[in-house]
Amino acid sequence: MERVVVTGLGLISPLGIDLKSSWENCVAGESGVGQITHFDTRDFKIKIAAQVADSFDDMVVKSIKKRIRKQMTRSVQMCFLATQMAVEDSGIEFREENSDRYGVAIGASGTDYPSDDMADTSVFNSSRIVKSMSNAFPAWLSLHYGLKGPSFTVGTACSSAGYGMALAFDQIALGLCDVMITGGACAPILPEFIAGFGDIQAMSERETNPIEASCPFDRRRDGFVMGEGSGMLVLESEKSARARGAHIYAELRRPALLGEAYNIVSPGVDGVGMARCMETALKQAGIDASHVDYINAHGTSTPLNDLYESKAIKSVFGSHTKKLAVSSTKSMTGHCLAAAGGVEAVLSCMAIEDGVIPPTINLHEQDSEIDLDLVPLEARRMPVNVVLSNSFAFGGHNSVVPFIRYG
Amino acid sequence: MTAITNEIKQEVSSFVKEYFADECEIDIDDIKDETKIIEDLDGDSLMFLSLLEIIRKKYDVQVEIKTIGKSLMKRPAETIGELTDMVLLVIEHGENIPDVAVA
Repeated sequence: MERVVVTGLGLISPLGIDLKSSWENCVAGESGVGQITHFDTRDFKIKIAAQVADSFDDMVVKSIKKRIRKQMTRSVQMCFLATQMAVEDSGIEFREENSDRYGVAIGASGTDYPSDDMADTSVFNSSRIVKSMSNAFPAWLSLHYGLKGPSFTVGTACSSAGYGMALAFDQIALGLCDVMITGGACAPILPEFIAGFGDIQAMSERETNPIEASCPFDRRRDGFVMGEGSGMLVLESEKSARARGAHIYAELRRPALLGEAYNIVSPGVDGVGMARCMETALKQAGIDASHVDYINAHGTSTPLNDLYESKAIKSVFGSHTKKLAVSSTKSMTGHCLAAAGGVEAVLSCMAIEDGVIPPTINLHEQDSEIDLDLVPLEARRMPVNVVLSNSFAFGGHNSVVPFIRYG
Repeated sequence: MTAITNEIKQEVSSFVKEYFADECEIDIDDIKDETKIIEDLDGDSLMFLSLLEIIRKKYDVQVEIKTIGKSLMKRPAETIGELTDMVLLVIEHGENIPDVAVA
């Protein structure tokens, strides 16, 4: 089996429209949450979200040709530009003679094409199909870079990016590809999704002081705050990366993918499915539980997820739990749904790279039933060698992605 | 049938060039009749459809897109000049686009 390493990172998030600003704001404990401006929320009970800054739109106009960008939705544009950042960061040059050794595996649950545009058949729209097809993400990347290896989208709701990374990992580990572009993208801050998640009581209904609304593991948490963005990684075989002298952020070990087969929206009681997924990840990765330094938690700020995830962590890590740092970057980015695993994978790699664990902000009153070291309010400087990035989705699609310091 | 005057020819030629200049973000002066739509402008077949839809409305032409598609199969329009000729044929003949190419 080939070893798989991360050689490029790209990030567009509510904390910044590039990796540097997103990471700096993350370490500083800034919140990306505010009033929704993407649409008029007067008739909505949910009025807040973690939006990517308006300057992203200027970047799109500057960076993507009009003809192309008109055929892309916002989430596809985010994926396209975050990938450009990751590819540039990796320094890789895709060569025609090796093009069938390069592939793309994107985690996304559709393109977030506004349903009113899709349904408006009264106007001629030659982009309707291209904008709505879920394979648009890898298709545009494959076209742009001339990547002729496997190219696909995988959709498992909030763990989509974790699934994408696992399948990308397999391509390289099995020796089928040298490089895979992977990660996730999602731009769901649309009336239909805000109303939909609002109707099933999954979201925070706070209106005042939006920056405090996403408060994972806090006693006052009342649901997630929707976010948007794209986190993209260039995965490469160790052999390929070393041959070209690439900078290696971390090694990716095989992510665990499991189904809960329990309930369409609720996690299994006491986080049994979450625990099983973390155990599998450790086993597959050949990592002893006592060596894990940090878990980037799913930590959605919903009452049930955070309680069950904390129980799952305690059950897997036992006495090591006290030495284990756990934080939820969703406290700052909101929940970027299908992109969450991608955004958090990038932040996890940066935690290893810089030796900094991002904080869980807004954690002023830790839930008394949650007994974890949650890195409250402020980032923590410490050597970070092994990280697990958790994503648990509606439908019971769980993924746990292990990153370890390369060496 | 619509008679194609020199004025219409000029208007359509300018319109086609303006459309591609705008869509492909290219200086209109760089678009010539011999400019290749896909190779030189990074254009695509969906642009034809959008352009023809605009033309249908602008000149009130009664023609099915399928009919134009069939004509394009027989007489591919690879350059701006060839596409302009096709648009003029559509305006002139509507649903009855002749099979034989106009020189």
